[in-house]
Amino acid sequence: MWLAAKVKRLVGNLFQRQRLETTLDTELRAYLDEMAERKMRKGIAPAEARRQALLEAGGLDQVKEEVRDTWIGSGIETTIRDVHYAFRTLRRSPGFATVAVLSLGLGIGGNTAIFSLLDTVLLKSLPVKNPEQLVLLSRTGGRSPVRNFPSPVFEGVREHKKLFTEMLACFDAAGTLQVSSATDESRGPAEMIRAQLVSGNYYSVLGVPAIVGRTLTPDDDRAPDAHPVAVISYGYWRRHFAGDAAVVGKSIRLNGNTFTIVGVTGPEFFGIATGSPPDVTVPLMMQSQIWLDPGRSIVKDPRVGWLRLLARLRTDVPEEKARAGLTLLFQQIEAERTGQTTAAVRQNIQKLRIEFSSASKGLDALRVRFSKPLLVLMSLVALVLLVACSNLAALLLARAGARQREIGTRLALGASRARLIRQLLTESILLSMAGGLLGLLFAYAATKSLLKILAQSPVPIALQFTLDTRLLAFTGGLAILTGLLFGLIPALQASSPEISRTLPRGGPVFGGSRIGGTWRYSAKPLVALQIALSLVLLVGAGLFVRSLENLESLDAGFQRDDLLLVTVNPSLAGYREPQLSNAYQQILGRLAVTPGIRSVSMSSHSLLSPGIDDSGFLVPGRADRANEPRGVNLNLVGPNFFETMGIPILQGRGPTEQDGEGTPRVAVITETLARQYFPEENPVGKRVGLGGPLVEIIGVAKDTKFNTLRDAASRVVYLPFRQRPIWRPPIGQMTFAIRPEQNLLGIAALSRRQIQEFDRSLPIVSIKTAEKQVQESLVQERLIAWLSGGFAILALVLASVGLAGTMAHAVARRTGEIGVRKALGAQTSNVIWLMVRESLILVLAGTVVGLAVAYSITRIAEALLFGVTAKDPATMLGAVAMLAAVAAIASLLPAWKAGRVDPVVALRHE
Amino acid sequence: MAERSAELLKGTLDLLILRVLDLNAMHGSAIADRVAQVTKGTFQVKAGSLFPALHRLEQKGWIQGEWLVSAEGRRARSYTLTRAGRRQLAAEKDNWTRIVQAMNRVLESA
Repeated sequence: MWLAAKVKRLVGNLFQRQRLETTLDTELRAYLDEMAERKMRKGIAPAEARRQALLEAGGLDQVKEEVRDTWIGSGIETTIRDVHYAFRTLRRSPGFATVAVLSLGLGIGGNTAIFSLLDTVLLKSLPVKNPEQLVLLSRTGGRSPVRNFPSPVFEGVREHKKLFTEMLACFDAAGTLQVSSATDESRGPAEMIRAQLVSGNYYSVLGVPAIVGRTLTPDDDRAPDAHPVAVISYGYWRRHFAGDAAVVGKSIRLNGNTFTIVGVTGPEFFGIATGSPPDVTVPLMMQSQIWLDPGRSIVKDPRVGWLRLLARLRTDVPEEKARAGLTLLFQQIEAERTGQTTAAVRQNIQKLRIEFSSASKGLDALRVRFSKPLLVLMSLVALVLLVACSNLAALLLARAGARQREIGTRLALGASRARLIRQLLTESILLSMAGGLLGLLFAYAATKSLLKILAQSPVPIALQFTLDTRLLAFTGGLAILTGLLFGLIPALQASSPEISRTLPRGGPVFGGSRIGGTWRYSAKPLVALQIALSLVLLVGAGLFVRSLENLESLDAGFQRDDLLLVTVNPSLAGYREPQLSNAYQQILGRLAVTPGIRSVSMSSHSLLSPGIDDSGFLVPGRADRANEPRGVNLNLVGPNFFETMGIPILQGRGPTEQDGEGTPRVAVITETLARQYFPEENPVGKRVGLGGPLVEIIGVAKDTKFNTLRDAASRVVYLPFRQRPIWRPPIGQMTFAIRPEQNLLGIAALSRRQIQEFDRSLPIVSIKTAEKQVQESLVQERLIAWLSGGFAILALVLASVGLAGTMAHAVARRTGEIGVRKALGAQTSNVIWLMVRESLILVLAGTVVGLAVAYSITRIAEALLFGVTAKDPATMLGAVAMLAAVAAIASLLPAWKAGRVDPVVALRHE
Repeated sequence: MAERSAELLKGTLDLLILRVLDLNAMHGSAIADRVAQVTKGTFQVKAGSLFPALHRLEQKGWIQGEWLVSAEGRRARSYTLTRAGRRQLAAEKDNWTRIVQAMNRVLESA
C-alpha cells in the first residue's frame, strides 16, 4: 500500500474513531442477528438462540477487542489509553509518585550533568568542516614526542600538498597566552584576555567563516610584524562592542600595539582547544607583539619550536604514505639546518620521525587532564542511578502486593499478561520520563555551577552547557532505559498468574506467609543491592575526601596564612629592560613603605601556580649518575623573599639588596637539590653552573611545592632577580608577596592603588591571597571530593528509604503474627529483635558484597588519590560504620513500631 | 455439525477470504458459509477470527466494505475485492502453490 494511503487511513482511524466503532458494532450485531435467526429457524426459542449465537461467536466484546487490534494505529491508541490510566493511578498515590520522580530526577540529572561535561571534553568533535580529516603532527626520535615545531619547518612542508590538502599552524600555549587589551570604547586599565596566533590559512583550512567582516587570509601572514589585524571571538564582540556590526575597521590595542579588527567568528567556534576559547586571533607573523616571552621575533628562527601543526589529510593518499613523506621532508630540513657536520648528527637525523594523532576533537590538553576524573565521576553517578532504580523497583514490588486485587480482577476478566505488563511498564516509563524532565532542569543548574567552579582553576576552563540533540537523546534514552530497568521485574511480578489465584481468598490477607509464598521476586535482594552500591560510593567518596584533606593539610613549604599575592605584567604594557627591573624595584619600594604592610618581596614564579622555568644544573667535577633526575626550575626573587614567604633557610642566607648586577653571582638551592648533589658536604660556598658563568651557592632553603601540592621533589634554584642568567629572557611578569601588619583586610586595595599610582596602564594579572591560590590549585580535587560525597549521600538516603520502606512493609505484613506472638507473651524487645534481624541480614549481605566490589574496583581511581591507598582500611571501615549507623536508624523505626503493636487491635484487624 | 474444523494455518484465512470475494461481493456470515461450503466443512470460520481478518484486509486496502440492504431487508456490510486485493490474491496464490508443491515433494519422497 502507498504510504499516503496508509497515512490517510491512520489519520481516519485516529480521528474518526467513533464512526469506526459504530460500523463495527452494527456489523457484529447484524451478524449475531443472522446467526440467531438461523437457529430460530431450526426451532430454538429466540432467547436461547441469541445466547447460543453469542456463545459461538465467543463474546461480543472479545471479538471487538480483537478487531480493534487490527486497525492501523491501534498501538498509538492503546498507548494513549495506557498513559491516561497510568496518570490516574499515579495521581491516586502522589507520595509514591513524588518520591519516584524526585529520586529519578536527581539520578538522571546527575548523569546528564556529568555526561554533558564528558561529551564536551572527551567525545564531541570540533565545530569545523570534516574534523575527522585533521591530524596533529608530532616529531619523535630520541626522547618523548614533541609537538612544537619551529616556523621554518612549517614553511618547508606546508606547500607539499601531494601529502595532505592543507596544513595550518597555531600557537596558544595550551590556552594560557594572555595579552592585555584595551579598546577605544573601554577607557579603563588594560584587561587580560586570551590570544591565539595562527597561520593565515587557519580559518580556510578549518572551514570556519566570519559572521561579520572577514577571517584571516594567507595575505595577512607574509612578513614579520607587518600585519596588525585581528579576528575577535563572538563572546569578545558581545562584551566589548555590544554586538555592533560596525566593529570592522575599529582598532584594539594588544600589549600596547594597535591592531585593526577585520572580522568576528560565530558563537559555536571556540578555537581548536576545548575549554580555552581565544578572545582574539592574530597572524603568526605578529608573534613578537603578542607572545613576548621569547623577547624577540622568532617567526624565522629555526631553533625555537613553538608551533602546533595540523594537517588535513587527503582522502586519496593513505595516512601511512603521508606520514612517511612528511618524515622524509622533515629529515631533509633538519639536515640542511645542521649542515650534517658529524656522523653522530647524521645518525640522529635519520632517527627523526613524524607521527600523527587525530585532531578531530582538537588539541588534547583538557582531555588528558580531565578524562580520568570525568570517567570516574561518570561511573559513580551511574551507580547512584542504579541505586535509585533498585529503590523504585523495590517500591513498585511493594505496590504490586497492594494492587493485586485490581490486577487479579483484570486478569480474571481476560486481560492478557502481555497487555498488563505493557500497561505497568507504561506507568514506570511515565515516571522515568517525568524524572528525566526534572533531571534536565537539575542538570542545567548543576552544570552551570560545575563550570563556574572549573573556571576558577589555575588554567581557567571555559566550557558551555548546551542543550543539544545529543544531550536530549542521552537523557531521553537514559530515562526510558531506567523506566524499563526498574519497571520490568515488578511488572512481571504483578502480572504473574499466581497473583490472580489469591483473588478468591478475598484480596490482601495479612498475617502468615500466604502471600509471601506466592511472591516470586522479593524486594529484599534489591535492598541489599542498594546497600552494596551505597557502600561502594561511600568508600569512593571517603577516598577522595581524604585525598583532598591530605592535600589541604600538606605543608607547601611556606606560610600561606595572611599572605597576599599580586601579579603584574609590565611587559604587556610595553616595558623592556632596563625599565622592567626598574619598575619592579620601584613598586617594591612603594609597597615596602606602605603603612599596614609588614614585609614585602617578589618572585618571577608564584608558588603553586602553573608554569615552568627550566634550566640545566651542573656541578663542576661531578659525573652525572644514570637515572638520576635532571634539570631544575628557576625562581628569580627579590630581597627578603624567604623571610616574607616564611620559607626557612636551613643553611647560609637568602639574597639581599646587595646581590645585584655588579656583585658575585649567587644562588639558593632546595634541600632536595642539596641532598642529591652534595650528600656529604655543606653546599654553601660551592659553585654550580646554570648556563653562563658559575654561581655560588649562598644558602639551602626548605623544600617548597612549585606548581601543585602534588609535586614530588622540589628542584628549585632561587636567584636574585637582578642576576638573571644571560640566556634567560627578561622577567616579563612578577608576583609580589605581601605580609600585612595586622590582617589582610584592605591590603589588597592599598596595594592596587600603589601599583596604579606608579603606572595606571600597568596590567595587574591577579590579586589574591596565598590561601586562595592554594584552593585554586585544588579545584579539580575538591570538585571530585564534593561530587563523590554528594553522590554517596544521595545513594545512602535512597538506600535507607528503601530499607525503611521494606521494613515497614514487612511490619505491616506481619502485624497479625506479631499480635499473636504478643498475645502469647512475647516481650516488646523480642518483637523488635524479630524485625531488626530481618534487616540485619540484608545489611550484612549488602555490606559484604559492597566491600568486595569496592575492594576490587577502587584501584581505577588510584591516580586521583593522594596520601591514601585505594584499599585504605580506615576508609573502608569508616564507610561501613557510617552505613551501619544509617541502616540502624532506618530499620529501628519500623521495628520500634512493630514492638508497639497492640495485640488486641492486631487480632481484630485479622 | 461435527467439530471437525482444522486449525487454520496462519495467513490461510486471508487467502481464503480474498479468493471467495474474487467471485462475488459478500457480507460476513456469507463469507464464513462459503468457506465452509467450498472446503466441505474443513474450515469453520468463527466470528472471533473472521471479523479481525476482514478488518485487517480492509485496513491494508485489499478489500472494501460498504453497507447494503439484503433481499430480506436486513442491513449488512458487504465486502468487495479492490484492485490491490486482486494483485495480492494472485501473488498469494502463486506463493501457496509453490509451498504446496514443495511440501508434497518432501512428504512423498521422504
